[in-house]
Amino acid sequence: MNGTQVFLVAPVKTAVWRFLGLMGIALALAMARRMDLIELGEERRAMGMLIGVMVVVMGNLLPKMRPLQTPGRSPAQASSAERLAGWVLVLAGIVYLALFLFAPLDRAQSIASLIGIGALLLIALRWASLARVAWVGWAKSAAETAGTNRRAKEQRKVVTALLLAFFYLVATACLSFLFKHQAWFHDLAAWILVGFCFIFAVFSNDWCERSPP
Amino acid sequence: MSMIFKALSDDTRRRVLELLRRGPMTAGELAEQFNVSKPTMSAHFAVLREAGLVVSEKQGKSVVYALQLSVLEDALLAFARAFGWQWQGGAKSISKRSSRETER
Repeated sequence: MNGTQVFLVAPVKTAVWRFLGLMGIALALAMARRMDLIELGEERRAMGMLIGVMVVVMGNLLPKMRPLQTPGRSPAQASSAERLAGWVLVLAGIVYLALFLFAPLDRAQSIASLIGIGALLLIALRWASLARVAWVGWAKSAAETAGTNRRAKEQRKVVTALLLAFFYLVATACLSFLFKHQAWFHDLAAWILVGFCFIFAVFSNDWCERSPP
Repeated sequence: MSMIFKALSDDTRRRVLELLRRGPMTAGELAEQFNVSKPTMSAHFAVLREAGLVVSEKQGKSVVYALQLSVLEDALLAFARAFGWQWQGGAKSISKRSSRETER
């Protein structure tokens, strides 16, 4: 095979396939609604449940994918931040799912969305504090790690893309449940997309291969 | 899933996982914490690796182990620790494996 082939470990492969599978179901639901096979309320409830399942599944697998284990970062701190994110997502996902299963739809949409956004903000704050430390560490360890672990770097890129797609989806879905009828929602959705694209561009850059100053 | 139950059923392996919560450790550092022979310890590491609960990486002459638990596995570990979980097949397979390694 060629040199660009990406080797994925089992947890990452599982996460990619499960994410794609759930996205496929979401697309099928949207198509069923377009073809008037299901009511708007049913589609919304099913979509909410699906997002809840996705949050639980991805949250469960997140610590196994070890997205924060990069050179220059304390492995114990990274591991603790990954575990926190996993637990927060699994618990938030279970509540999300339960709300869409049992609560009235309008209430489920608003409460579940607030829980989803709260969970994402908590994870973002914890990871941002680690990223600040790692920014310096990356540069320091660049020389010793450059070119030594190509597979790990390729894998980190896949995990980064997968997690950003997942976080983008959850953030957009939560905001859509809350503000879909506001005139400015489409602008907000566009800016969220721009923001995630920017984050992806920053994180997919191969910092490890940069020469230290 | 049975591999995970088997891995979590043994007290030594659960203690290895607890030690790895502090961060990655070499096989030697981990073995120092236990009063068991090296072949037995290697067999424990192999069970944990096969269950996908730890990852190992060779660094120079030593093998470094790091934790790789999903949230569900983390919860199962906490449950096993709290209730002193035992699995019948575990001890038997470990003793078989370690005797095989000693023979070598």
